[in-house]
Amino acid sequence: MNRVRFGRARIFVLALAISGCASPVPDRSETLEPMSPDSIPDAYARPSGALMAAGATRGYQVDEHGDLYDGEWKVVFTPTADGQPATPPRTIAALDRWRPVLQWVRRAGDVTWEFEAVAVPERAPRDTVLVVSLLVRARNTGNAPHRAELSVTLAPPDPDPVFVAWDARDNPRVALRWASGTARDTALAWCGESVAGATFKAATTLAPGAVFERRLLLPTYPTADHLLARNARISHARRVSEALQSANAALAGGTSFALPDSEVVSAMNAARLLLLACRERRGGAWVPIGNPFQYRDVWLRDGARVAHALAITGYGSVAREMMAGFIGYQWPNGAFLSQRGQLDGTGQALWAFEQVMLRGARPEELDPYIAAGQRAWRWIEWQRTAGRTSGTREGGSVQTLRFGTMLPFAEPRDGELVRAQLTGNDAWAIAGERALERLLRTRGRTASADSVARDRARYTDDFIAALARTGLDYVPPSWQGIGRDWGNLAVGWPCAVLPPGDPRLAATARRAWEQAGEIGLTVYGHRDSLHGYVGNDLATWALLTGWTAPADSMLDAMLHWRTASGTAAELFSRAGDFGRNLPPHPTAAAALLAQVRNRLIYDDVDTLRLTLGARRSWWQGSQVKGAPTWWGPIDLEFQHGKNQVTWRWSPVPVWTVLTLPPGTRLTSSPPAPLQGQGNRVLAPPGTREVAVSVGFID
Amino acid sequence: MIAIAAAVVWVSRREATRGMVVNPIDSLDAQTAFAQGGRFGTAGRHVESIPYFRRATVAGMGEQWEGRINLAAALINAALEVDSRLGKADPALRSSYERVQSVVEGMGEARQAMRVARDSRARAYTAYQDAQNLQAWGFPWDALAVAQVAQSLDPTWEPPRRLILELQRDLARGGVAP
Repeated sequence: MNRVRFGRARIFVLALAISGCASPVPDRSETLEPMSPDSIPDAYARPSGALMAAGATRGYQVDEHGDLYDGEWKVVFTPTADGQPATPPRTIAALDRWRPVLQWVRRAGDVTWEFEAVAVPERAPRDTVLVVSLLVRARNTGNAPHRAELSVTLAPPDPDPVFVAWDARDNPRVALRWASGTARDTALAWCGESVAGATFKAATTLAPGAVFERRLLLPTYPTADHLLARNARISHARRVSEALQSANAALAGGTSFALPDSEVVSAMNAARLLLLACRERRGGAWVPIGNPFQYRDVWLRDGARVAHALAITGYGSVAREMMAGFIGYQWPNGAFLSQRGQLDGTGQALWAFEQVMLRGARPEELDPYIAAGQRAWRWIEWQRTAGRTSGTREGGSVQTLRFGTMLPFAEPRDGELVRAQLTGNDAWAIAGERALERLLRTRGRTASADSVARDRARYTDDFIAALARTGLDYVPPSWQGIGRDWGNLAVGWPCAVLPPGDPRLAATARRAWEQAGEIGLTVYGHRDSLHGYVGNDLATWALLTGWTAPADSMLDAMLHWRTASGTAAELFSRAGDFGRNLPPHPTAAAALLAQVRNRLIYDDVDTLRLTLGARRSWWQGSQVKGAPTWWGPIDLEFQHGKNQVTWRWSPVPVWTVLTLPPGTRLTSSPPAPLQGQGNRVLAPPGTREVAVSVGFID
Repeated sequence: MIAIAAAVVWVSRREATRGMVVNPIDSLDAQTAFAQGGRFGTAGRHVESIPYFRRATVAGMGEQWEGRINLAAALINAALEVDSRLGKADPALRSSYERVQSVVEGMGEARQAMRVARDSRARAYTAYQDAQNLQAWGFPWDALAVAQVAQSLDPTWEPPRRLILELQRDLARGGVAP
């Protein structure tokens, strides 16, 4: 295979060879295998990719044209062959659909233009900046020579940009300048040579089979020329290798999920790397961001889910750093609120404290969160008292407020998309009080815990009474009955306000699924607007009732609706159009992680439940290692062999409920002290291994 | 020996101060800073007004109600300010984290304003502003309680009474329009 390089590039290869001697990192620069991103599926109507890193305050979006945009400027690529422009990319894929290296291909006749990009975070204190290392490779796949030309232009954003960086400069606008080796200036891009103006051009004639490469560096902020030149001393191949190793190390730092289901494992890998990347620092604390692009902001409703997902998949310390960030959202009145009118934030913050801090924090670490939680609890109960003791004068009598015992009206400008008293706010507040009670009991503060428990019990009774007053057989989005399904879908799980068997939860689910026209994924506002994660609460509730079909359907949908980099959008049409709501969405990733983890290990009650929703294929033999639970980290192995099912797990001081594989039944009573109950086996505290005989249900 | 030591001290002090950038706002007197903050605030540029009002309180208006209440208002309004960047309207402050921090600091400044208020109208105004802030962020019961305080501080002043009626009406209807 012939390789055509410009002189400067050859010098870099030489330097690489030397640096490679000292480093065991495999150098992929010598690997000229054609990239094949188009073999990786993408469920959406147009491709999109994200280059991001934890702590960085900007990321680069790779758009459907194959251009890059960081919220302040674009990098526009125009590759051609014999004057013919290359097609836009069909997919923008991560290696193996999860590794943090993006590849895409554009074609111009016989010439294939391959692109490979990786985000490289700068070292602290410049770690708010990341630099994209991008390799462009033209390959002549034909039998005749072709003229290959590459033009890369630094350009201002589109007139109606989907997102703009919070610190983008309007006046004066940033200078669209390429780095030059000797200049004492800042630049937006580096190509290894001096470029006059905003456009870098390179061209060559490619013989049949020949390859031509150029490497670019694209920082997310204007960066000094000399810093870019120094950055360029490390080859693209090494940057890729380091990113791959860093991703492997990040995954190794969490729970290990060894399942015989490569799609699920791949999706979980992508989801976990996304959650780890979608974080920004605020002083010593970290906050989870809603998206690297248009939702580069913080919502407690999303952040709580993200922190929970990280905590239950082995990233307790990362999640705890986020809880320190959550403290910054407490108002002087005690409530937690991130966005105007989103009163669910108080319950969500307390729930997150419980979910995160009780899985691995030292006891004394709980105290600041208990103190914050107690202020929040007093605010909640003050709201209820104000509502309960108020009334309206009608004629000569005073009427109490119809839903006065519930939190007041809110206008979240999101979710329920209505101004009313939202059932979800109350459900989360009740969950928050339950969380505070558990935190207090963990610290031995029984009297305070009992007080909170009494208020929670009254609140739950009031919730049920209010539900009866609506006259509806399901849980509506608001007490007034109006609004879109949102917080009401969380009443069964995770808020656990009503027991799983409550018929109103089943009716709520039925109603949501009828609107969607299918069981599992739900819609938002319109039958054609699929929502990527909100239905997962219903799916998990169904799992707890022993009904696995909705969870199976939801998981199938979450696995289907992935980009070629393994992440998901929030809202999209059935044709896969996500419009301006760009993926990746961390809450969708959190939902996937929570569901898979809960199917395997569920510890949200005073019982450990194993294989609650383990799919048939997982029973070929699965292993989970280092899963955080209320009772410390546990390992789990399970397998369905010939007529026998076995579980091995780290013993816990509570009963364990083991669910049989789908479609099987016990063929004999399990030996004492085990107890058989339908498709479940109950094991007493301290049990570490169970084997039972099973047969398939006819 | 003493001369050498003095020289070392002088050089090290010079080194320490070299590179320090002095914010020109920090050299403004209180009245000038206050006036400039007021110009920005009137133009709806609350984020830009904050350092000027902050300077005014540091430079002599810290014990004056006008100094504190305007800084409070600037901090609270900044959290709701929308800015146009590269053709797109977005919150002026970076994220909800900064917005909440700004409001909470503003509420603290309002407490300071209450402390130094010279008469009942100023105290009522301070409480009324707090009530409006709580209403805007979606705390109607809290807003009602504070609006009632505002009314009690100056029963002759109409705005708190109107706000109370509005909040009572909304709370009774669960926020739903008639």
